[in-house]
Amino acid sequence: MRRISGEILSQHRSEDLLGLLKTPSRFARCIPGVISYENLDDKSIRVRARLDISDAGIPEMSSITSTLTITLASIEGNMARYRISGRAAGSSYEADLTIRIEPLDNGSMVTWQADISLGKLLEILDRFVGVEEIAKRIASLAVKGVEKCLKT
Amino acid sequence: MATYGGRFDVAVIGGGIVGLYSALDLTLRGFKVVLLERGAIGSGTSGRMHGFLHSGARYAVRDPNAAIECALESKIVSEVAPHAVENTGGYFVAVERGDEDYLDEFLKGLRDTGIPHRLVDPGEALEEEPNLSRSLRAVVEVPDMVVRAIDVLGSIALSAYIEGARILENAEVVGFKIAGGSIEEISVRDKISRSLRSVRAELVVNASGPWAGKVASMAGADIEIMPTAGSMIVIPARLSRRIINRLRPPSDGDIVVPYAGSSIVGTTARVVEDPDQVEPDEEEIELLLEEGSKMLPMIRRIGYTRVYYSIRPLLRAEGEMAGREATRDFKIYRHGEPRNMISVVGGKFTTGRLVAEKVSDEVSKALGSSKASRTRGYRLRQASEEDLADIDPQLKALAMDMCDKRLLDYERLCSALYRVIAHHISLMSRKDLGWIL
Repeated sequence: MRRISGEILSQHRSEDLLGLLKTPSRFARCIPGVISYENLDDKSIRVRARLDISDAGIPEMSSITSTLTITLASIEGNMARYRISGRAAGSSYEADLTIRIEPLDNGSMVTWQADISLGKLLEILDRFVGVEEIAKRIASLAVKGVEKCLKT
Repeated sequence: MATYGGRFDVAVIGGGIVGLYSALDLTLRGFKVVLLERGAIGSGTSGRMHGFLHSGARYAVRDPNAAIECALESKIVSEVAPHAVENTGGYFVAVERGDEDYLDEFLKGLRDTGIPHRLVDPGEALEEEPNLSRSLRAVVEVPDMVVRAIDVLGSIALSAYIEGARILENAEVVGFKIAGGSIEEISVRDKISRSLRSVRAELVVNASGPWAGKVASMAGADIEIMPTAGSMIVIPARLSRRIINRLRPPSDGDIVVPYAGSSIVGTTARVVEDPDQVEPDEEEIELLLEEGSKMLPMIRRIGYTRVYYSIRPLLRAEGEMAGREATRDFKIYRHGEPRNMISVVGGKFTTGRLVAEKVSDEVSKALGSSKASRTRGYRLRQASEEDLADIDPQLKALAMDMCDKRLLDYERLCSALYRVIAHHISLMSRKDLGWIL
């Protein structure tokens, strides 16, 4: 298990962001690289997404397709918790994602933290390609995607 | 014919595109070379590729240097092995809304790298390739080609043998005898006679692809390799004249290669622990069917007849890297110990000749030679009467029987003959080494 985290400034109001996070299907629609998704119930969705692995040094492949299930575990006050499980590059992964949104004068501060558990093969892969960096990039792209989504 | 009982200048381990071209290159520079392949020629990664001879377009945005090298090398391959190359051309097709976002960047990449291209009207593309999706949004034509890997590998093996190299299939390296920091002797399991043999060489080239880490570790050297499997599915119909690529940054399931009467849909990236233990993955197969049928909808309707895998190595190694990296995806290692081993890992089939040239430059330097590579303009020998005449009358007779253009199955028989040739020259090489009478 490893923990990665980050924070990103958003120009949107905290209630708009939280509104989006309440509904996984709305959230999923905003994430870049999502190819398709299906609602499993009102709190869970199964997503097929293309993950950017261009830093991995596989010239034939700058992204790979991953299938993952995202479940909204809880949303209380300004904090949402998600449970994520999926498969990529032939190996499984799980993550507990916590997103906290603090209102600012001109927008919001999005703070996120993920406890990630990688399958055996992804653990090995991590020695070569820096899975943590890839996860951070995906998180950053996801927040940017949400920003773009709220603009339109 | 020279005798080969003594010491070789170079022993090359691995009978893929890089190992074979290294054997040919070094032989043409005047070295006495033996190549050891644990299975059949091309049985590792090279003979399991998708048949795509890259114009470079696929790399034009992300890796312009690799794109330029692919453009040059694919032209060279088509010139030195015209019998193994089909000049199909290729289309990059946008079939979904997001695909078009990549168009401008892609066209700029092609312009910057000098790769010839043409924006094609979707209507015209559909006339040319009627099985393409009716959702075509944009099409770019590029000079991709199809290559028959086994024919090329057989031709290189034949050429290397004729020039004086000895090529042994079913000769698995199982250990090294090291003395004074150098490899003194290579232990080889001869799978034909089921006996242990030894080979001596001044310098050892480890060109065993995803197995290079295992081979290096036998010599006490460290190359950490992460094998990744790429899956391909075979559709039993040729659905296009050209290679069809998805217009988007390279990802899984975005190429369809017309290969003889079939279509090959590829590829994927899956981490595997052992390159010899790869199991089918239903999710991957479904992904290839889904993505492939977005470009050519008939793929879903026809279905696939078989799945095969190619193993690529992801690299990480300790120690000093030798030579220039021609592309980001291959590395040449001059090991500190054993001092007389050079390992090469990675590369594409399209640029295999160039990688071998760089390896051979390193070997030449290590052996004190300044002779330059000649493979760039060296026309590879073919499975023809003329090229086989001096080697063996049986092979010549086979070529007359099998590579007869008047036969219905000329192409298939001729390809099969390259396997026979590789097997035959392996037997003759065994004789030359005194392994069989």
